[in-house]
Amino acid sequence: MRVLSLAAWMLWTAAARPEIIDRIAVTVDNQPIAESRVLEELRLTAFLNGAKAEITPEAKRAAADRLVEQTLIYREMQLTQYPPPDPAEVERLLEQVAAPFGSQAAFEQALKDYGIGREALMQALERQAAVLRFIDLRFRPEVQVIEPDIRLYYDTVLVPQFQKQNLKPPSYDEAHSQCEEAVISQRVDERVDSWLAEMKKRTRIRYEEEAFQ
Amino acid sequence: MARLFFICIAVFISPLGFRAGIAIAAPEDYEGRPIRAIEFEPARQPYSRDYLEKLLPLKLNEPLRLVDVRTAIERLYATGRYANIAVDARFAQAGVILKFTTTPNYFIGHVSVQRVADPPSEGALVNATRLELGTLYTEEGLKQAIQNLEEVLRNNGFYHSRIAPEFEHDPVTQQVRIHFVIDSGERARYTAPEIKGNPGRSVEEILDVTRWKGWLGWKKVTEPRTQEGVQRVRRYYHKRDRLEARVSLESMAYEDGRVQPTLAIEPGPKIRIEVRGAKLSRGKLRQLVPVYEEQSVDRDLLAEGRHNLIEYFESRGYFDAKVAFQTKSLNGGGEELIEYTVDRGQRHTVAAVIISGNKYFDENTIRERMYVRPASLLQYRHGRYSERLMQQDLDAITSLYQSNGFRDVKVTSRVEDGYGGKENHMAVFVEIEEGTQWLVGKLELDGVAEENRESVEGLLQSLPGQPFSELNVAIDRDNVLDWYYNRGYADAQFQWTITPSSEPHRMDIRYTIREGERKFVRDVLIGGLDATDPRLVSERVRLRPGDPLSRASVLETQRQLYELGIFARVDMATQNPQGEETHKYVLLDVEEARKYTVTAGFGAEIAKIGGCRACLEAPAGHTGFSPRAYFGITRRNFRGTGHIISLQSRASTLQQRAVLSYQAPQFRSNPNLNLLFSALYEDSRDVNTFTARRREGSVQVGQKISRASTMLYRFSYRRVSVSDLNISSVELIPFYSQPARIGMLSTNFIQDRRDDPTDSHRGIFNTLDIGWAPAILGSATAFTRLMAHNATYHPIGLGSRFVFARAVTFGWEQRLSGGQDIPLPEKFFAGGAQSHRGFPENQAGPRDPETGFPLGGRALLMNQMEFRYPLLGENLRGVLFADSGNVYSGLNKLSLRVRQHGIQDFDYMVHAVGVGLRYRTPIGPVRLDFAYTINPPRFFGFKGTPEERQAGTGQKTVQRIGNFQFHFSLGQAF
Repeated sequence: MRVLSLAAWMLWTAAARPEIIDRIAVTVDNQPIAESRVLEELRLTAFLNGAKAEITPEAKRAAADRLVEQTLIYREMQLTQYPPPDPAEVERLLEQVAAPFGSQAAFEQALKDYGIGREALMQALERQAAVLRFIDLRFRPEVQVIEPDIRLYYDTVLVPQFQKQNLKPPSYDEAHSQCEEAVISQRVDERVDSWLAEMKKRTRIRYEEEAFQ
Repeated sequence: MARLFFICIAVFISPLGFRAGIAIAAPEDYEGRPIRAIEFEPARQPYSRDYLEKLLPLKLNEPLRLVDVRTAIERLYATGRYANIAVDARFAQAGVILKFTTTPNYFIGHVSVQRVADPPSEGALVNATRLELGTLYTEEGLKQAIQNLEEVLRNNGFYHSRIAPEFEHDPVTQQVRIHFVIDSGERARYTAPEIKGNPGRSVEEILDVTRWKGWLGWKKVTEPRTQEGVQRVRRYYHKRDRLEARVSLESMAYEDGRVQPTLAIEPGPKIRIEVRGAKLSRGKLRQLVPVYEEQSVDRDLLAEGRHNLIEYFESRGYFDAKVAFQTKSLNGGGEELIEYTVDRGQRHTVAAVIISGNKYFDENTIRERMYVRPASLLQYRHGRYSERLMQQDLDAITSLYQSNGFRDVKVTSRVEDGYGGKENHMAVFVEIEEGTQWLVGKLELDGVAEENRESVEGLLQSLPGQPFSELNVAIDRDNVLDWYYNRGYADAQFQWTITPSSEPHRMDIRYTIREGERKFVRDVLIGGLDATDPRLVSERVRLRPGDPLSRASVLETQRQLYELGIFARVDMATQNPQGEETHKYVLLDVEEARKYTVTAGFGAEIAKIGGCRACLEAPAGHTGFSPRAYFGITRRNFRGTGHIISLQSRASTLQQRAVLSYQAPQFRSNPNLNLLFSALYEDSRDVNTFTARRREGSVQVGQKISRASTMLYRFSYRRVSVSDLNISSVELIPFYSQPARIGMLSTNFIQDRRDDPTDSHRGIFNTLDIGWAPAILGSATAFTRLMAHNATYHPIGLGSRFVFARAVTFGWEQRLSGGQDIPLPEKFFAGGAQSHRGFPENQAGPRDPETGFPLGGRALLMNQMEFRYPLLGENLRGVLFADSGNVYSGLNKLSLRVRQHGIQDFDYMVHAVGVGLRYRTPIGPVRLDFAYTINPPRFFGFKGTPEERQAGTGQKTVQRIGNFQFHFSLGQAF
């Protein structure tokens, strides 16, 4: 009886013990990112990558970093009044995500397994569409690619890749547009990275360490 | 971008991975459980419980949704009042209890520093912290502030300073007051600078130029001294035509209390600028060729110099002037010659400026906006014309039409030489094609709340049927936004679009307004008060808790506080500016001005003020010289009340004067009232007849009735004793020699509607002063005094260039009872630069029948007229004037006749005409007047000493006021 009482008391105290259910994980100037939002990002990324969602301090930190960058981009979009993405585009992305599951039920079950709500996924896809659109409109026009750059990419990246797999590389003319796109993407990446680095310097970003333990 | 793309790429990955799944985290256990209580830790929160309940999406006894917890955190954080928020939950009462654990933010309040030896000044140190009032306090910001302070101190020679911040937190308002305690240590001294580069001068020469070493050895390091030293070296090279010299301070190396500056000097080549084909002074060349000012030589600056030279010659009538320049390298690159070659061409005169095609605006309206002017006799002998001025005029006329709806207006000009058949006479034709006036078709106003609509509509100018122009739209935008900002809508936005109307030449306008959230005052927090009574400030704050956060009220508060004259700085800001909260703390932070101001100076007066006191030979005064010295000390904010105590003194050979005053500006917190107590001691001989020693005490209340009108109510009691009397009347000498006591009640009305009190072009200026000195107030002789002055100013022609000004002054004194006459110093004395320029200073009116010294009068009438005209350029103006009037022995003796009836008759009107020059300066025009008195008075004087006169020897002679008078002073005559 005494043992039972002790067990009941322990259960009760365990149940009554306060537990943190959410908190601020990062702040970007005056915008907070909650720990639940970091976990959601982590699960979404794992879900979309088809990987297991490992909730480790490092993974949480990486998810928080992505959210910080998204926040910076979103803030810039609002300041410069970039148009929001077309809802049809978000629907199309959702269909793309759901397609590999074969059925709606399988898709819903997968979401449940990852602890992701459909609404959260939709919002994530909307954010993603908006960010891609912003990058396309803001940075892509700045990139100018000249013929020698494309040739260099062909000679130093594409051909060695094929040779590594013992395949015959396509001719320069055949691979031209693919190489051009790759070079443009590379340059856009560089610009986005440099812009984000500059924005981070000008922004007060604070990580609350207890949220990453 | 790869990092941002990966989410897209992921959708192509096999769904096998989705089987992995994850464990459900603990917080989900609470999802859906009813919320039994919401607690906060600490219990004291920045907001009331009611406000928090409204703000948070979590409701008691409703199922908990974790997404609402996240929203709650976001909403709380968005207020800006929290540094950190965590929410925990526990099971209880068959539900869940939530607890928000918060850490507050703090915001920067008053920042002060401990005073160190100046420089740096206290203000400079506070500014260096860059801690902005009302913004978020952060550790990084504090660290930066300390670094900035250290840098400023180092620049001023304090290399061993220690800085310790002290904080005063107010948890209720979340305000932190920061005081930096500074132990500055010893100030370092300079030592011999290191010179890098190729200065072409010895280190000793450079050192002499810097003045870092004085008679007593190396001077102490201060930032202004360092900068000035470098600047002196720069100027040293520039004066020697090394216009491209580069002198920079590379470093300041400190060691053992000594600082060694390192100067990098590259003198560059010698630059010589010459002008061929025209004569130009070196000063003018420096003014026109910007390489001197910019201290650099490049093609753009030389081209700008060429342009300026062309303009200069155009402004002098050489409208065809051509200027070219070339550079030559001489002496193997050691010298550079810049040669401007000028071909002035023929000198022209702008004979006429002819405007045509204007229907909507009359010619005067257009000419008022033009710089191009035809030749006139005095101001622009060849007229004013240049291509740049012409283009400016065309733009101004175009803008005038466009702002009145003439969107299609075309304004062109052409120049015709040989105008009127005269060689080199040119006419400028300005041709205007007005086009059709565009009007506003429809006006739509979106986004305005219903309760604001009527007020906003009342502000608009671009109403249907009114002329349409972008300028009017801009005015509407400014008016509307001002209206919103003054009512707490700090984020209001205004956008506008236009579309052509269905009717021709009409434009439909749509104004879209985003009002944003209205902000209110939570409270006003005052900081920075040290000696000042807080009530003095709070009574002048125009914002109260609950009021809309109005920009106009903020400005009005600052204005009223500055008007007290006791604050060097009045800053106002909202606390937590980024925070999303409707009620904001308004911060008012002041820096009290220095309490004591000491002024001292020397000067001199040259006028007809000469003549010895014991001599009788110059009753009308000799030209004399009187040196003078001033000293004043003012104590502001006496006992924190905002009151001012001041002692001003002046000593010269003619006058010794001291005034002690106590002033209460904004008396009884009324911005329109002021109170003044003053005590005066004066020993003066401004009237040649006597020396007056005056002791006076007075109290005065000033009341501002309107912007232009002021009333002064004054009681004064004075005791005036007279000595060195130069009068002959044996019976009056004992009376006049007795000390006179006067207790006078007076009231003074001042109405000032002049555009510029120091140099008026239009407007009116009236004063009326009525005084009553009865026996019951202590006056030995009871009398009344009235003095009225009326002046008006009338611009003539375009741009107020010609002004007609006139003034009439009338005075009357009436003895009521008591002594034989009104005491001598209380009588009217006039004449001189300010009243009647036909007389020397205070020489008008009745005179002693034997000695000829002025006796003053009991009535006064002066009429002054001036025609003010431009003379040379913009700064030198001319004046033609006619002054008439006199001081009369009584009101019944006042006369307009122009002839003096006898040598003892002074009751007639003296007329004087004259010319004057006015040179415009920032403190008012410097004035030189030459007057010719048409009918100066003659009078008996005495040749001899007072002793001779008493002995009956000496000689009575007929004397007169000279026909020519000159006056030199500051400010217009009236």
